Amino acid sequence: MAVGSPENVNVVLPHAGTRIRPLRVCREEEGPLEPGFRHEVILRGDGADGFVSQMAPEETSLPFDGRLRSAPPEAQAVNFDEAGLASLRRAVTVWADEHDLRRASIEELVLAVDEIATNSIRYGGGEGTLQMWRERDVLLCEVSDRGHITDPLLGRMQPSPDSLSGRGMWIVKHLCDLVQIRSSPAGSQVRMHKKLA
Amino acid sequence: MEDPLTINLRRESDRAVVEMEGELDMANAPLLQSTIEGAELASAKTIVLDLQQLTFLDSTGLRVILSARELCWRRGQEFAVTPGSQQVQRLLSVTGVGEHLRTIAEPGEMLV
Repeated sequence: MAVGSPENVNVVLPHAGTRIRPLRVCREEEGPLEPGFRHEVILRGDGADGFVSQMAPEETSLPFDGRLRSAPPEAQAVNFDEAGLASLRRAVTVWADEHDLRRASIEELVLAVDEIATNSIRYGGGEGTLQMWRERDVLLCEVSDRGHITDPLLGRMQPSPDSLSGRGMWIVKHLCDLVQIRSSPAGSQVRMHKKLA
Repeated sequence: MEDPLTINLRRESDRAVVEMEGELDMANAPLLQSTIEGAELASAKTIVLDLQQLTFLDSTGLRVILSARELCWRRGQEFAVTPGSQQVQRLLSVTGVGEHLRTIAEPGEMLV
């Protein structure tokens, strides 16, 4: 491996299994790294040398980069803000019930949507849009807003029982069969999957 | 539309029972917050949040419940809750908070 030749090196981030190409790779002893960059230590497979990569700060949002296939045209859309949070829960309840989701699962889905919508109201510009549709035996609820999610570990660590905040995404990930997050400075989508069976 | 959350306060000697009926979320969490901070509750020895009629709770509501508990502890008051609906209990269990909340079956039950 040629030191200082980023083309030859892939870094696998510990979260999300995302591969990125570092801007620069150097031996640790090459001196101080530039401030404002994110650094990760890479250990070579043979354990011989340690390397440090530098990644531009904007690249740290990569875990949520990319696009999801758009919701189908028949998706039911509901706009919401703080005053509409209770109505939003009613809409999800009615819709999921029409698809014969069982009672306990409806409550879980409603809570999950409520948590993400609350995040939209608090951090995503005060409002958002929910889209709901069905794909075979899965119900999908997607919340879009103008917020930008940058914490790659969001919802991955259990808050302590005394903690006053930071529970929303943790709850959502535990109540849904799959949660997909896509985010950029232009906005975010959180797509929640709930199986019918 | 009916009020999503109604709060009733009652005193039973040195115990104050805060009875919540409906849904506790971001939109009405401030109502609980101001009730807990109110002068009426400051003199009680024990505060019980009665969740039996609470049909919906999310993490924002839970945050207010936990901050209410902190305030009670700072004031030297005992704090307990009663169990809520299936949804409320589900939230308490998935967050791991339930087992750390002092829970009594009825609002009048003795604290041991």
